[in-house]
Amino acid sequence: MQPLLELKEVYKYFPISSGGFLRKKVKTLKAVDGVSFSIKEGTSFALAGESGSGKTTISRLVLLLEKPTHGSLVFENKEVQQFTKQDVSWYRTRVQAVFQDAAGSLNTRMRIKDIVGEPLVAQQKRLSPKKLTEKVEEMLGLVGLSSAVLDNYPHELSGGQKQRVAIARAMILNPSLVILDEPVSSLDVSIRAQILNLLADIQERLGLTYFIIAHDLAMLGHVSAQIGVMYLGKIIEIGNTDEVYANPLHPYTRALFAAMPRPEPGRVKEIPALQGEIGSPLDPPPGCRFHPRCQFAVDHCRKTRPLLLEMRPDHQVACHKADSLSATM
Amino acid sequence: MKRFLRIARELPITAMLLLFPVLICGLFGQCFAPHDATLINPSLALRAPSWLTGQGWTYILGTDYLGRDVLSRVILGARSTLIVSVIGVVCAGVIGVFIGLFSGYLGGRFDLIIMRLVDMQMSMPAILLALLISAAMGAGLTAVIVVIAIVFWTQYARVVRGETLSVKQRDFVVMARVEGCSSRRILVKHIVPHVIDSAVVIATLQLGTAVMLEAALSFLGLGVQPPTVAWGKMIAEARLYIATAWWLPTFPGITIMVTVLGANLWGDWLRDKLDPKLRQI
Amino acid sequence: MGETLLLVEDLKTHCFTRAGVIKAVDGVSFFVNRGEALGIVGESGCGKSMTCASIVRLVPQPAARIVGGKILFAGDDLLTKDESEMREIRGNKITMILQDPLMSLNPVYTIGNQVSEMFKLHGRKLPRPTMKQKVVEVLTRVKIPSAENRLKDYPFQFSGGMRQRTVAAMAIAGEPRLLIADEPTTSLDVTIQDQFLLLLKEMQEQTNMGLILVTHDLGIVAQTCDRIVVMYAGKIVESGDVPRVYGGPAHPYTEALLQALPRIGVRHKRLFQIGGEPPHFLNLPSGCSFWPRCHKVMDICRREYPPSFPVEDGRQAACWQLKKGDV
Repeated sequence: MQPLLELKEVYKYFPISSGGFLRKKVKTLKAVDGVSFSIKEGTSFALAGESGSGKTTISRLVLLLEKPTHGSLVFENKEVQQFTKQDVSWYRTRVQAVFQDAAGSLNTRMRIKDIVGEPLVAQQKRLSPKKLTEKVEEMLGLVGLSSAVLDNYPHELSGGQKQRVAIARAMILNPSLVILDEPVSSLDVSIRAQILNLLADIQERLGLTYFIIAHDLAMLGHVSAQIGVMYLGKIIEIGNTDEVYANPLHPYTRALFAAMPRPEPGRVKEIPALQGEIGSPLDPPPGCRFHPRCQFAVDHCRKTRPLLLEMRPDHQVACHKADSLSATM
Repeated sequence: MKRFLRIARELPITAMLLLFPVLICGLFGQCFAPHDATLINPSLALRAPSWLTGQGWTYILGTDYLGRDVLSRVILGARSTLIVSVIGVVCAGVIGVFIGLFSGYLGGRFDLIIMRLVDMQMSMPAILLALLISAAMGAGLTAVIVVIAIVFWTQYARVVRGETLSVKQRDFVVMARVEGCSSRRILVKHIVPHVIDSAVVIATLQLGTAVMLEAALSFLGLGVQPPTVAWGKMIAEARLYIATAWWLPTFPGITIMVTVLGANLWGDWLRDKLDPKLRQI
Repeated sequence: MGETLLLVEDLKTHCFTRAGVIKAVDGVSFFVNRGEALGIVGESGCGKSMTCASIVRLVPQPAARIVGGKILFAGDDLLTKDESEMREIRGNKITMILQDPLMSLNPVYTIGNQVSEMFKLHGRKLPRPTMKQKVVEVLTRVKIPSAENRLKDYPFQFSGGMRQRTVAAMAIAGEPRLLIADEPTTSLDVTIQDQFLLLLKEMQEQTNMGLILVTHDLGIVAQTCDRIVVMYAGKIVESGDVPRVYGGPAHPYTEALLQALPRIGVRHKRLFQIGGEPPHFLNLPSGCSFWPRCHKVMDICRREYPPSFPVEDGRQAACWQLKKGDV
């Protein structure tokens, strides 16, 4: 079966210029440095990583907010690079997003009914006001909100309700792919489960495909079927979620798992805390990006960039020492 | 009702007390001015304010060197002052907001060029611009409005551009793009409502400055022409009589001060209400 | 552990707004011993930050005021002290670290300048070379690499983790007896957060100071703290030793929070979810504040707020369920 979305060797470099009228280019920010993955229809794919990993840039690329410097995106078998303006319009009915900050993603000057209905208006679906309201109410029902909030402004709603509004808005065009960028990290802990369950229910009902970006491995382990771990612009480990979680192979992935705080008092960490700072995509280390912080680094790691190789079924790792490390597990 | 009362409690009473009479004079002045402001009567020239000389209420604020009643002239002067400053500021606002919006939204070379233009214009003194424009257009009401529009638009452009740049990054604008909104819709529905506040605040604060600019231009002879009455002109005409007829420059001066103060207080209040971040304006 | 460093008794801090009185901290009691780490856990708006602000008497007046209770620190009631005495204590005996290091550091002063200011403020003004040495020492203690070369850097030149460590250095410059850290790692990346929490633990062990760690993250408390206090709507609903509370939570809220967390290595179809939303202070339910969302609610819960019942050695929870055990 064709994947719904495919990224092929995508690079996104940002030139950081020193300003001035003549625009001298000084440095390059290598936000995404050669990333490939594919998402199957009806599944959930996750990208995990810390700041500077490039996951946010990838979401912006998929949302056509940025153009890749090299590489291609293929959606429903169509080359996104060759899209005309009309194609982009069509794409926007198939791909939607829910962002992290629910409060920031809702226009404070608009009423809920206008916010949720806007995608229909923007796409010029030319619905009568009655039909529009019906559709909006249908979406609010889908996310568990009553029609009472139609005339409210965002600041009159709680954090959880705002995020539900954002979800309703994303669903109203009946997209096939929804990007979820840190969908629950800005919500109160006691309501995160509600929203995650809601997202799962909607996915089942509407047959959606989710592309989730977050840093919380526990949450991602619960919601995704496939996961990719990113570090400084590259995917360093990718595969079936349960498999990767059971057998993390890359030293960074293992460090991430160890560093994640878990509600298990007296837990002894599998490996000691990672030293050093996360590198900068402005000046990434040569060879393997992770080598300055890696306790297993050897000379080879400093010179050559490791490629993603399949180490186990449905599980690829980009690490020169993956072989020897997996033997010790 | 409760909400209305709550807002009413917070209205700037002082500002309104100062501006309200000016507004009434401007709109309905000719209804209650005691005399014809343009009637020349040399025999009555340079009469002191009548309450001082004990002559009753005929010429309350005195007469000028052509025998015209000062009070009536002050009342009628409000009209041209208000017309010129309000229209001028609104024109400046419209031009400045448009340019600032497009500059901020489109960015890139366009933005760079526009901002350099703004810088260049801001480095030219207002009076010089005024002289140039008057020379080209001839003096008069229209010329003053044009001068105000041209001198004042840059402030809007700068501020609105900055705000547009920052609003453009906000999640709800990004979402609007993701939804497929056209640029026009994004500008109108999402960006303008968030930048218009600053524009309104700038406008109210500029009213006072516009009044002063008009006065300065009239002083130089570039403002409104007789028989139209304007406060600045009244002060200019009174130059020679400061020592002998103190009432001639004083009363128009007071009204200018009252108007500018009222406009500034109102602008301050509006700014604080809408957005404390604008305090540096 | 050590002797009791801080004893808070029935603390009440109220916020006076136009819409009504918000009982942000409503009768809160807990203690911290020397060398011990206490975790205060709760969601946004539960009163945990206001509790910390109350301890150091930095409650934003006149909108908010401490209206009752005692805060006993080394025997003295802090609520009876005047402002100059509190200034002596703040930064010196009790210090705080806040969430956003970018806000805690002044962007226009160098790192070296700001850290040395901490020494100067508490009467430790020393000649310049000694001061510089002390600054480098404390920065090295918080694991800032090559601290000597970084004294002239500005906060924006430091990464988030390093900034937070600088703030920690400034906090321990005065050799405090108690350190209050309010969501210190929320703005940090996971691996950096891990480093920082280890650092806090190390600092605590070296100086035997008390540590209060305020967070919403139950995982952080599990790995860093000895005892835990759970807050909801301005009150403490459960307190006790970390292993015991996590092993068998006595209050339904704590239980629900722990159950609702996704766990690594365990995959459920649906997560256990807590219904409803955290309550608004101006609209608290009658009786127990948690009853509308409680999966074990009884009749009495809707009528009366439960007192704190003892569970085991040192453990307490405010839940009518526990009274059942008595009967």
